Amino acid sequence: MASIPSPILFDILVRLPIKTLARFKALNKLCRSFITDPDFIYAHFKSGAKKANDLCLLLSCIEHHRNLNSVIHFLTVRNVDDGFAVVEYSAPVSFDFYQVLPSCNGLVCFYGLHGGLHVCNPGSKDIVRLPDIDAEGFRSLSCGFGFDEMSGKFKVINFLEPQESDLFMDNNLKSSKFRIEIFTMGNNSWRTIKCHPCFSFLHHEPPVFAGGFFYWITADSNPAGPPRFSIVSFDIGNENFEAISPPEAVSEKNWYNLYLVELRGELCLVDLDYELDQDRKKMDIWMFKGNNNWVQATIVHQSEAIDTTRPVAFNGEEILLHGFIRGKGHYFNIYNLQTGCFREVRIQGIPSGFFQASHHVESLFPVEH
Amino acid sequence: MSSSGRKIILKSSDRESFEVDEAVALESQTIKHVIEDDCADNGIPLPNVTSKILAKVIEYCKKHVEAPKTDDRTAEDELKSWDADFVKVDRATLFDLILAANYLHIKGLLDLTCQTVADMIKGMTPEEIRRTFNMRDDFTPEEEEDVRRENQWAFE
Repeated sequence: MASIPSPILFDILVRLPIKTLARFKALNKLCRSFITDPDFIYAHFKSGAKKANDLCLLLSCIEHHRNLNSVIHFLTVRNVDDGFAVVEYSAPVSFDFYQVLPSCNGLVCFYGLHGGLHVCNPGSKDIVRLPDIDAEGFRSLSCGFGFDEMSGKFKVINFLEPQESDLFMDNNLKSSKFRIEIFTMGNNSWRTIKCHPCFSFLHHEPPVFAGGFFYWITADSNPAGPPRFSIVSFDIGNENFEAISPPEAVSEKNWYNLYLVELRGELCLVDLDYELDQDRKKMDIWMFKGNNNWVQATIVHQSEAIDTTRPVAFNGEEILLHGFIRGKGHYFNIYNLQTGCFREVRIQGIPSGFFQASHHVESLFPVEH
Repeated sequence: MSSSGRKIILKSSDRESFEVDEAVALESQTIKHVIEDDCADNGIPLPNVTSKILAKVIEYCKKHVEAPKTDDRTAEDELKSWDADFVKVDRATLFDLILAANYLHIKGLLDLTCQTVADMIKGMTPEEIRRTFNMRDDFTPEEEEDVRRENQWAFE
């Protein structure tokens, strides 16, 4: 292997799973520096993202123990059609309610209701807890996690509002008191960003991260009538806010039935508000292509309880849906946009209780604060 | 004998000549540039490729040029099966094919051969790799212990 030119060595190594690569760090010094090089790690992830079965998943669930210690389990399903969930990593945490954000470049960010923001790489079993924000008197409204391609760094964005903000306060007044904190992984501290956008969130959900932007649905109070809805984006690289126009067809709708999701690296707006007739329901998925262009995909089903499902992954032709029915539990379904048919997917080893699912590609990105 | 199109002569490092259809030769981006620059008239010398390897490369290019470009699953599977058999060669030949595919810029062949090597080494331990490829281990025992400990999960 010593006589193989570097570009070819690269082309071979980039195809290996992370477990093999981690082992090969012990081969010799050249291999170790090759495999830990940030450019290689990035290229390896990109290559994996392109080739991976686009319907592979990360599941996360929490297990509470009696002594008030809890564990968050991360399982991967490499190929939804093969159907095996394997526990990759179990993170011990203190007792709390946790939000696990969708996997981003192989890393997962999660946080408790009472703090404790962590980032982990379930593949390499690496985890770090970020320093707490010095935010006495403030509470977190919305927290997101993404990757900045320009700098090659991961960032966490945290929107805070004063504790005493009450529900009935004027939205403009509320948003003027926002604090927006950003943590760039590797820089070891939070920093406050200066701009004060004038909007309020529709839900207190984490933003969706897609294509280098964080997105939120926002509602501006309109004294003349119902709130006006729009979508705000935040460029993770240059850290600027912008508004984007929603598709015309939904602009008059009641946005409490709409939500954002990321599919295949793109922002999508999901509209569940539609009953076609007594037996059939419709879910519209609007995919954002940039420049105010939205492309519509529609899922129609006779009897499926679509309003309890959400799209989780998309490979260009098939959409993987994750649903939960009380009494029946979790189920996964794949909808083929071309044939208009569903097929149920059975995955073995799924946790018995509640779990979150997101699309996932493994990577060797290190976890650092 | 194929219908139309001119023939290109390729000369291996050990001075053997191979006559191929232009379409087959164009599978190589390197050869394509030589043809486009109009320098192919007296045959194209390939000093980095032996006749044994060139014969294999030509076999690959022929098969892939002739393959129908349909969405037909069975045709696709058949080609994949042919590719899998094509790379069932000894390790030295496999590596020579990689070098040739790289030099000649034949993307499909480079992908196929690199993936084959990757699949071959995927499950190996560092010791097996070092033995197989005659690699020197330049870590001190302490350094190697450190690397193994930091990446313990990969060795389980």
